[in-house]
Amino acid sequence: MSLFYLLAVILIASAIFTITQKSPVYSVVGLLVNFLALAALYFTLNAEFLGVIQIVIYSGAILMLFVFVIALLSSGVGPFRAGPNRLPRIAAPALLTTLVAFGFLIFGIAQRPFGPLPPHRPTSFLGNVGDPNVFGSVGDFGVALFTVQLLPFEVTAFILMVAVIGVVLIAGDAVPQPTLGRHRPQKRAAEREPILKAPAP
Amino acid sequence: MTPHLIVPFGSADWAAVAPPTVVGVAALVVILADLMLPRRARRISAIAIGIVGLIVAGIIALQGWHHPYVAFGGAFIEGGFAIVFEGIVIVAAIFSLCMSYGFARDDQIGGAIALMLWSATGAMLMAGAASLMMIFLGLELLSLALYCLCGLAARASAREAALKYLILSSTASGFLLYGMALLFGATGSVALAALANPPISAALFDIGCGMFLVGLCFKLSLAPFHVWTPDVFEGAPLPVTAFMSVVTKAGALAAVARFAYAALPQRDHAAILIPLWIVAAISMIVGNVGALAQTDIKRLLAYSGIAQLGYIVAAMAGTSALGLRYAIFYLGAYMFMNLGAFAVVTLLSRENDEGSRLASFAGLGYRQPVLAGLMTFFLLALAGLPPTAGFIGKILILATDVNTGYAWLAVLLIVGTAISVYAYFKIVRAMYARTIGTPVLPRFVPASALPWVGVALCAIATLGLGLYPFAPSDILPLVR
Repeated sequence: MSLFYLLAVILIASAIFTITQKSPVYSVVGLLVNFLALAALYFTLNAEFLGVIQIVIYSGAILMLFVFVIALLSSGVGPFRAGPNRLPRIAAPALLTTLVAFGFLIFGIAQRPFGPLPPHRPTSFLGNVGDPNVFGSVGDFGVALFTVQLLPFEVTAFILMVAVIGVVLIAGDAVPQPTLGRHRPQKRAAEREPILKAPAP
Repeated sequence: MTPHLIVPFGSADWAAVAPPTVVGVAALVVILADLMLPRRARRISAIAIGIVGLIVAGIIALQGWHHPYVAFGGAFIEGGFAIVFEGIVIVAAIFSLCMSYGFARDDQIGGAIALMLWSATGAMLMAGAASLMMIFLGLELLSLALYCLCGLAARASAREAALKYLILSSTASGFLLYGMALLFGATGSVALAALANPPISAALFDIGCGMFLVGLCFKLSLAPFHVWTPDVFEGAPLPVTAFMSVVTKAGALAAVARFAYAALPQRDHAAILIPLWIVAAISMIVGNVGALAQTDIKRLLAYSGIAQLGYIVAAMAGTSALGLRYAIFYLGAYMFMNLGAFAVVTLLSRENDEGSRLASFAGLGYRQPVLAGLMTFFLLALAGLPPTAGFIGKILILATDVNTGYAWLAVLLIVGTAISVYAYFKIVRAMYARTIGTPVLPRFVPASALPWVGVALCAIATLGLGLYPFAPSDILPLVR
């Protein structure tokens, strides 16, 4: 339980760090800590598959993507330009919304005080939910993925394909006379400024 | 440890998801044909392949009418309920394709038609979805394709519409997903059937239901959650707007109906669903009052859609079996009158002008009397005047609301209708009034005859459903 509180504090602190930094690179580092702490939290809950996925996909792939975007947009090295301070105007409604949301959650949690798990727990493929190495484990996840959740699994793959094609369609170059496939004009690359210029003799 | 692996899925499971699969594959065929065919043939081939795919999917779906089947361990249920909603999605998609001839650039048309078909696939998956996960995935497929479609037009307002739709819709998806997570936490299962089990925590269950319904009300654009609708409808390309106005609503309505009728345990019915009826009541008033001030027909139809969806949800108040039938009947009627109006606007659109401004309709009754007459007919139907399907639909909703003890909804429906008549007749007046200085617009020759087919079919259906109100029966046992 003490590990939980330690991780919870790290999670919240790193999240606050992420959104308060002016430099985007610092924000990414804050986010990295956040993701790793969340992965550790999953491990403490015996959900090792989710924990590994959290590290591989979020800490690995998504954060790398952020870093690439920041690196490609050269403005990333400098601090953000601060816009007009909108905080005074939105503070009251934001606070109200937060309080209401937290109220709901606390109300919901208070309905079932902490304690032993109920006697009739939902079962998973490998046993009762809550036992170690059952719910959220690699085996449990794999069985679920290819049995009862087969259709959602397939549909998810389909959604990803649709997203890729949609992005290509929107981002496709607005050249008014696109050529058919093979004969794409090579002019553009030639016209571009060379990145490294040979030093003048 | 060796798990007792049961992989009970066979050909019958795949056959149950055949209709959405056929539509999804048809979209792939559209893209391939787009690569191979010469430029001139692309538009008509994309539309033709799409329509053929949709019709094949419809025929396959009808085969299952007498053989309801619970597929994939309860993730998807093919049966009368799903088939009716799939049919509505298919018909709406076919009409939208009929309007899509002049839509998007030559090099984008294949992808655009494919995205429209994929969006329909998502709606069809929602129609049969019987687990929280499938509802969410169907909704995401539906929405994701629509975000891209909204942004396809070159003008800035389309990009704005796409961005607004993306951000606000993602927020709603967040609500939906959070609600689903709480429901999963309360019941320990993502299956809708498991919601009837006693929850671990009643409060978690109630909050989960509330957030789930908020997410779906957003997608239905019911009143407190409707703010995005007019802007997105105005900015999106015309065929996309027409598509969105029916298909999104049909998909979300299928999920709401299945949730209200089949999933919720009887003991919680009244308390959990009361907010839904209140939202429907607000929609009827807000939608119709909002329509009064509009001068753009796409915005007007957006507000009209808010009100019409209010009527449809109101029909389900009290969750009576008749109410579900009438809701489906009104959804079908709404589809025909709404898409008919959109098809008329398509016929009025020219290059760089979608013909959706009120000014485009000025003097239309003298320039194109047939078109003006048909537009008047569709507007009469939307306002709910006889002899149209809109009139019969409203009478049926009034009857069921009074019978189930929701007379206050019936009263608000009448008030909303009275307000709406003024909004719709603003267009009728513009078409027939002889105003001095009416711009003499050139006679428009549409690029294809397809929208005319759509207008004619919609008019026949609106009249036919009004004279012979056909509502599918025996659906309720098939919901579960």
